[in-house]
Amino acid sequence: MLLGTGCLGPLWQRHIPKYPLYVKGNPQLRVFLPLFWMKMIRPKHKIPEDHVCFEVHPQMTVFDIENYLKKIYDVNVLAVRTRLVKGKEMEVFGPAGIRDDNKRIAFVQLEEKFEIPDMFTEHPSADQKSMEQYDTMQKDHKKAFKKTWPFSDVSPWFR
Amino acid sequence: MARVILQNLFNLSRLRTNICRPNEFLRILSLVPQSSSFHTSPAHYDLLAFFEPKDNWGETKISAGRPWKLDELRIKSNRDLHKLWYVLLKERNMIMTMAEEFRHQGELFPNPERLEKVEESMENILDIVAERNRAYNLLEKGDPGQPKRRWFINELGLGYWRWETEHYIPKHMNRALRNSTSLQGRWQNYYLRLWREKMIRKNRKEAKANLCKERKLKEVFPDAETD
Repeated sequence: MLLGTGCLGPLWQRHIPKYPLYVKGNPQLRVFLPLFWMKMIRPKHKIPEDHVCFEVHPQMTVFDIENYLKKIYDVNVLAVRTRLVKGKEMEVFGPAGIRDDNKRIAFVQLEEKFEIPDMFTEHPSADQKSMEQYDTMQKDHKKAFKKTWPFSDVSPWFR
Repeated sequence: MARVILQNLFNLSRLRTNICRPNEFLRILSLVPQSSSFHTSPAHYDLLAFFEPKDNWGETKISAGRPWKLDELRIKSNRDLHKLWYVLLKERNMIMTMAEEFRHQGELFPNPERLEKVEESMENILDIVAERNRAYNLLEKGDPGQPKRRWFINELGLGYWRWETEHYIPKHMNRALRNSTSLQGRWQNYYLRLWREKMIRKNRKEAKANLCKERKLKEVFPDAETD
């Protein structure tokens, strides 16, 4: 069994074991079951159109990210830059000494432009639909209220 | 997906890492029967694979099956497991991305338990690979092939259990190890004896305290059971 399976939380949060030692002249080491994950996120600040922002496994290197995208997703990558973001500290009447997990954020430069698809304008969710319903109902209510307004017979300068 | 990876099998030699030297699995390739009955959906290689297919956009409920069981995976060949791994990996990335996107938009993410299902099947695949690895090592080398625990004595002469690790330098040429153990000798026996005495006294004290506690409890609760 892999070290630590079955006892430590979800698989994606687990520490990835070390590579075996490599001696010059040996055949290349290969990863057959990569445990890495990447998720595409919207960047905090504005970035160029051919750049994409990812949150990746904190143990991933620049080369790992490049190979991951090239070999699994078949996307050509021009450049990869990463940065570590410290987890925010919880505050209860001052710093509580409890932190979120540290994140690794990767900015990937592609050959073509890419934009995160807009899924919510064309296909509104149930919440959005109910909000629209609520708005229309409120408008109708206002109209109905105006008709039966108690001050409607008072002259406008007095209202 | 890399053709090189697909042509080869994943490792059956190492357990703690899923990394392998090519020669070892090429030997195994001839042992394992390869099936062509396993088919996956047509792959679309794009960054859009990080997002849900367009049919599922705007849906409040996305149905998903159960995770793969161990018994089902045990029948599969290594090649099929390898393909399935990448399907699951992509699925997990997709689910994580979508969850993040929904969180960003302030929407409710439909069926978040899909992530756990995918993770469970991934873990099952790892277990199966480990099983085969172990069986192969036992057959070929007569050894499960996992790092062992060894009793190691440090420079103070105190022993403790330690996991074996890989080293570039053999043990007899390792100067750091030699330096750390060079001080060992008969002079330590006096101090080790004192140490042992101290530990024995400490243990006896604890045992005595426990006994006293039990006796006192027995006086208050005479019918109570003792562990």
